Amino acid sequence: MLSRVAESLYWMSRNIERAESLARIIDVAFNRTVDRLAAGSEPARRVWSSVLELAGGGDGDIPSFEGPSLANDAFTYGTFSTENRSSVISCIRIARSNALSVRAELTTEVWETINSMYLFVEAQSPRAIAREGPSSFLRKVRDGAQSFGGIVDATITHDDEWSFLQIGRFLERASMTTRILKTHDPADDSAPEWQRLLEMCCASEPFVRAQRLSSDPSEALAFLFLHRSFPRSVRFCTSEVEHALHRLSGTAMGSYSDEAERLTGRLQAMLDFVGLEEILDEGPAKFSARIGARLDAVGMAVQTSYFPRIPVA
Amino acid sequence: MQPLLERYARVDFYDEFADGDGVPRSHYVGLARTLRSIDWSDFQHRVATVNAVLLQRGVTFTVYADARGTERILPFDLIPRIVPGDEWSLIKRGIAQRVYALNAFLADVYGKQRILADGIVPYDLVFSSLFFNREMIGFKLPHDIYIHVSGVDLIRGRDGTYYVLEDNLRTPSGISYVLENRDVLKRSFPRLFEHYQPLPVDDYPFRLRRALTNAAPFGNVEPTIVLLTPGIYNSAYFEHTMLARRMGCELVEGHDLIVRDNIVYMKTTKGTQRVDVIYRRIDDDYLDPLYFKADSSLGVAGLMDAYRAGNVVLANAVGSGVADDKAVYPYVPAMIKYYLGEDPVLPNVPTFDCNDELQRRHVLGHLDELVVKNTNQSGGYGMLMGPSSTRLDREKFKLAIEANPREFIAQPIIPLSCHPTIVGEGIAPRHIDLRPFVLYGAEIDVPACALTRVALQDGSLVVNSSQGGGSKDTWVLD
Amino acid sequence: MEFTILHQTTYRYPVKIHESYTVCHLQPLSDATQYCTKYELQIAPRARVFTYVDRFGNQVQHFGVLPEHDLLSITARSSIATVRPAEPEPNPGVTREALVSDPAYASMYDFLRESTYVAFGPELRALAAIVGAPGGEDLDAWFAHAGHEVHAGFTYDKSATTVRTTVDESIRLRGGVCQDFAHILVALCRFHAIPARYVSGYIFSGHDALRNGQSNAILGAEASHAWCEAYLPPYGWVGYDPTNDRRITDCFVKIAVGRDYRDVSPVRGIYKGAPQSGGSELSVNVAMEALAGQ
Repeated sequence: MLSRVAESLYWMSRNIERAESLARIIDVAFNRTVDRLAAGSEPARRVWSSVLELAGGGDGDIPSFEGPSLANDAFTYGTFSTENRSSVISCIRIARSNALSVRAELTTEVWETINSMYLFVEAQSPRAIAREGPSSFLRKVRDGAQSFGGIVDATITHDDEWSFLQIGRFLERASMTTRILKTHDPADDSAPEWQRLLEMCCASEPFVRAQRLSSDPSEALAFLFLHRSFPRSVRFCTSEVEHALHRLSGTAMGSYSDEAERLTGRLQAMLDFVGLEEILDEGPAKFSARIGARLDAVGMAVQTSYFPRIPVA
Repeated sequence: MQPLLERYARVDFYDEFADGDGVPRSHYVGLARTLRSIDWSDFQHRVATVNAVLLQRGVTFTVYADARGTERILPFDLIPRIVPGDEWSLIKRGIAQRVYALNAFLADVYGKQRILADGIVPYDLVFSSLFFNREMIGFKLPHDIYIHVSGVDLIRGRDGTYYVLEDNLRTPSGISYVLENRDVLKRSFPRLFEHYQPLPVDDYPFRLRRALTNAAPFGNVEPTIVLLTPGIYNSAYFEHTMLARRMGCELVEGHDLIVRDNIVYMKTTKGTQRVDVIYRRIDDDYLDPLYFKADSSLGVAGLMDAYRAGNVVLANAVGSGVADDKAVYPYVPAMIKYYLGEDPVLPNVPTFDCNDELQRRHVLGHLDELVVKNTNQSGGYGMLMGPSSTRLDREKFKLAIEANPREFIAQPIIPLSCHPTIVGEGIAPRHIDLRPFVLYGAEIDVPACALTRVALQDGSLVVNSSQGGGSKDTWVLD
Repeated sequence: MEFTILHQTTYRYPVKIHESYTVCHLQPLSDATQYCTKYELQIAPRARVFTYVDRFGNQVQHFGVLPEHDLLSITARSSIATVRPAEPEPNPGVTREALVSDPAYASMYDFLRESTYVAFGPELRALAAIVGAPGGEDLDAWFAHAGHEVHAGFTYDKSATTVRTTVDESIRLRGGVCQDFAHILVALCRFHAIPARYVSGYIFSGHDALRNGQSNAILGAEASHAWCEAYLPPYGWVGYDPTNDRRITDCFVKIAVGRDYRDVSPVRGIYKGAPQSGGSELSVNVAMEALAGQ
């Protein structure tokens, strides 16, 4: 496969995944602030600051919005800002442009899903959304992104193409879960704060089901980082990435043939064997940052192995 | 309601469908019978469906009216154009002869330049052509083939004579419409085919692949072929994806390729893979930033060096455009005579060369009767249609011609033939042309694939897609 | 005379670049007036060098360096024997009629028209009027006269121009380097319908010192040079050096000929990884040595 095609598939998938996460994060923020928290109150400010942080590219370059319009600004920045290359609309535009450039490789169904998401988002009027409330818009983005995932799995042959889509999807997801946990305020161990984190990770119901009535917030931390089969836990996502990498290279699990496999394998082993106490000792925010850096390194290594900027002579 | 076809009014042009007495020509009798039996509302319904299908499939081209370009479909007219077998065999002979001669001309002007030394074609004409690529002088190409793919535009005069209007030797497009039109028509209106078995068009990708395989450097029987596209914003991007998919070759962009030690490779996830033949849909100027436009990011640095060394074949050859320069066109009959010793099978349209003082004076005196074309532009851009022009248009062209006479030619208005076409109220005659495609791998191959373009505006003679043209399925009969 | 020439070109880039492709015109040509006996090209970082003959008959080398690098060094070493007279004579009897009836004249299109650096702008037209048109009888005499006029009318001034200066600009500046002098003379010839081409090469500046028996080698002399050739049948291409106001002697070494500088620039290339004009640092060192015993 052409390196460019692999790269486009990878970024297409990452951007769709990102649009989905972001849509949910913003929706959660609305739900949690619209009735429960007085606009402009400190807890509301914290929720919207976390949205701002998550909506940025992750490179720390986030505009500082403050004051009464914070909620509105954060919403716009995360959804319709074209300056923000990580906003919902930017992600969908990038994904569509990636899809167009590999259209010859995509199934009609996959192409049409992305194209209709694109047409839908482009047709929105931010003003109307401000009037009507964003929920139905955000839900449509989520639905579109989720059906993209389903259609990819159901219509694309599960070989190299699919593996690159998987890597993009799960690296993005792991990295978003990590970043959400990084927004956790160590001083606030309240139930609503943990509920926010769980909801932003789409984990609220699965967590309740898995934990029954546990009220220890640290259980949520373990769930989001380490759960073996919850599809948004960092450990689950890393494992999917690892499997996809080994499918691509043909190398047996447990050994490695390139840097991407080595880094993923090491991260996976760490997540497999780390104990919750260790995480708590290090501090969740610090731990998140460390995992995030490792995930970024995996992303770089995938790029170097499969679509290097500088060709190997 | 009156039967649909009865509204068709005959005109003072060659009518493809009916003779002077309004009687359908023999090869249209069956179609006429079918059309008469179809209900108009049914027809209208199908027209809408078909165009919706084309849009959904993304059979679009881009109009460069704004910076990003607008995607549009080429309106598809349901009534097929029929080319009977005897006419087709004349066309085949005529365009094959032309492509042979034009290819010989290219090998000559980039080689020994005999035709120039012998004074048949002026040196100045060739050397002043924007498309004469000096880097190509002295190149020895595998099999001496320059024009692997061409599309020759034919029109019919008042008496039905086929004239060659233009030889498109650079990157002619339109084949995707030929393939899609047939496919869509078969699916949406199978009844139309009830009296006919037109020759198939869907073998075109196979034949193109065969031609490109044969074009590979000597001894390479299983070459790696790629299609090089400028990318998603190109007006023919859809066609590029379609051809790559159907030929089973990679669709690459410039940065997918890299030249290492004079050999072209494509970058894959499993390392680099050698490329032997590049079917390029990028203009010469953008192919290699080392030799041409240095700021072009569409091309591949070092490509010309690999090409010169014979390590890769470019289809079509760099510099082919000099042979379809509009000012070189008047010399094609002489080329046919010179290289093949034959008379042209298909005549040229009479053409005035504005670079010649006498002819220029004639042109400037008759601007309101002639069509003036800029030799550096195509696709219906940079053209003056004399009879429908305003005084201001003519004044502008007069100044432009006087400033740069080499860049203009003029031709009498040829009244293009007409064909029944669906318009708002029913069926009416509209002007059409014909673009058959010629493949030249080991030998010349003319697939039964031709694009009929139709000027949808009443009375318009301009069929270009960018200027409000549409297309028809073209049935070539055995 | 016999010479050895070392021509070293080094680019230093402020950031790492990659995929650099370079084309060189550094190999002295061999014809009836000079013979290149040895030529080698060394590239650092190592690269495989390819050669072809371009449409003007020049030997062209090219190579690519794909991995990242921030230094590119090109070293050409050549040995040449020249067999021109030390005191060239005029070439009498070249008439306009002989020129236009010469069989090669019709194919001289490229040497009769404007090219990238050689344009017939207003300044050139004015200069052509001052120099005067050639008569029909002795084109060689006019050629030398025009060369002399260029020499007399302009100052050699390294700071005046760059490699991209056009003819009209350097005329306006009344100065320039050999490249500009050569372009002006080429333009004057073409303007008067005499085929003319640009020559890049070297001039041995140790000539006079050598004849005086002071030294047999001048190192580091700035010897990269350019001049003009006109097509004057039956003599063929005849050279004149407007910078030094003289005909071409055995102290000149020809590298390449073309329409203008653009066709024969010693080293040109492109790369990825930084803007093309991204502040790279260029150093050129040319050393020309005459062999002892002459």
